[in-house]
Amino acid sequence: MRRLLVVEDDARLRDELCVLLARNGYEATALSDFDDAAEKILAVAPDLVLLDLNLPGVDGTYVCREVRRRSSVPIVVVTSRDNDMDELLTLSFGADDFVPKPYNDQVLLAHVATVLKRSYGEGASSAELTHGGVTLDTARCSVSYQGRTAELTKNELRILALLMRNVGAVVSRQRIQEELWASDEFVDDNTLTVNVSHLRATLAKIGVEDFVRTRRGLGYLVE
Amino acid sequence: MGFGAYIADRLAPLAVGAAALAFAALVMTVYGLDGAAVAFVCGMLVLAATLALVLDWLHRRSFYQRLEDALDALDETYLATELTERPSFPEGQIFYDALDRESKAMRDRIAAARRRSREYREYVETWVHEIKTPIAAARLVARNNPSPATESMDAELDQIEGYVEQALYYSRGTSLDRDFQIRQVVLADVVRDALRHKARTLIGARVAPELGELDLTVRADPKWLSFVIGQVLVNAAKYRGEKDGEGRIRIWAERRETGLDAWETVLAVADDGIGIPASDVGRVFDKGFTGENGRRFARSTGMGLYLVRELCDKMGVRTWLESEEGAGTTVFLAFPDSAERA
Repeated sequence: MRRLLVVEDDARLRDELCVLLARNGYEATALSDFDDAAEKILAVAPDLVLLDLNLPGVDGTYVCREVRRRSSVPIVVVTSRDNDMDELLTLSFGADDFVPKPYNDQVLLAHVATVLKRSYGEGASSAELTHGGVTLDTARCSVSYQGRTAELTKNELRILALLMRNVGAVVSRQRIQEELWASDEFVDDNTLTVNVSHLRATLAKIGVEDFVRTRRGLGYLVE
Repeated sequence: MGFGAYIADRLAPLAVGAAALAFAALVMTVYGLDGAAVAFVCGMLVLAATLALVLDWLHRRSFYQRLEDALDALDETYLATELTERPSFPEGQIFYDALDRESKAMRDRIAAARRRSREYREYVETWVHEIKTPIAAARLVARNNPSPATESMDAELDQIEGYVEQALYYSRGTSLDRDFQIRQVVLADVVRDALRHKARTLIGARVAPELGELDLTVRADPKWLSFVIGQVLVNAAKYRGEKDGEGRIRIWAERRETGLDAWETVLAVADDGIGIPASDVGRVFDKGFTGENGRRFARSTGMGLYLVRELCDKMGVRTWLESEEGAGTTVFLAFPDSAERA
């Protein structure tokens, strides 16, 4: 499991970010005291740093530069300053990516996953998801059950991963659409229905029946 | 100032001079000077007076001419005295000094207004950036605790975010400073960015895009353009109507020849919503115009399309729309090949 460090001064946002990351298969810790932030980040030695630029008392770009000087840990800068200059400056200080606030959670997760993949290679970003004997390999884009494996399309993979990360909870169709749109698949309602029935057919081929349930009017669910 | 006007202005002294000259000629004749001598003296005097008048006229004219040239050449006409020398004749000096004082006062006022406007804008920018943290936090709270209640709060947060964004671009778009950056952008990238940005609003309204040819490069500020397209997308969601099934937004671009060797790239965003009444079509880009649809179907601030036009004008992008009631609206953005003006 990848270890992420959240460096953010707003306590509420920090906690919620940690919850979001934990729910999506990452181990998330946070810094709440920013004296010697760079030092502390290096001491934690995470796999990726989510860094807010507006920290009390310290300049985020300075922290970014300090960390980069002594470590190659990937840094994703999250900031509410959204002008081009900041973006350029941050990237020139060695940050790997830049996500403007207020971000869509799916967009943020997509950025994190991309940077992890770039830094640690294919497959490194994603733990395999397993539930009820069904194993989803997000790197290989495949699903397996009792020794039988089937390939999934990108959309099917995204849908199944979202459902398996929220086991036991109904995920609304809207939520699934948002997840797909966040990666430039602007599917409409009908396409989503088609994607889900293909996904079910693929699962049936390897002997998994009734894995993805429908809650009429609410969404889909993996129990 | 023509010579005629100059003479007309001096009619009274000239008349007096002419009368005096006639009287002098009479006196000379009475004292027995012969006609040729009287005519010679009078001719000399008239010639001298004419020469003096012409010289004086030329002298004044050069000042007024320079002032007029300066006024024509300048966009900021209040700077005209800076480009004109103080004249050497007293009336001109009085006039010049008055003008100079007036324009100095004007320049001070403008500088103060500019400073205030910049300060206000900086405040808005800071405020917008501050407000984003609580919005981001509230959004994550809603996301991390999914329930019908938090989902509808999430939708409200979307609206808040939309209004905050409008405020930011309003202050940027109406600012006296020109701080956007025109560069080469691929339309497909900007359109996708806008779609991702407005995903929740569009999905919530059950509207999905159909992307046509968009691999064309235009000159624009990518952030501004993304905002502009976002406004159009939100309108498509707002005014989709009550129909069953999904709304469609077709987005495509094409190259057009506008004249001899002059080309432009036109981006079109077409929805199949309720359309705009013909009587309103001409005014939808006006600031604060809400129209019939704004009153009947959705809360409208009359800011979206106004900002679209304002920002596009600044970037040198032409905007217009076509609409048919009940069939939909198409918004066009035309990017000239060399967007030199702006």
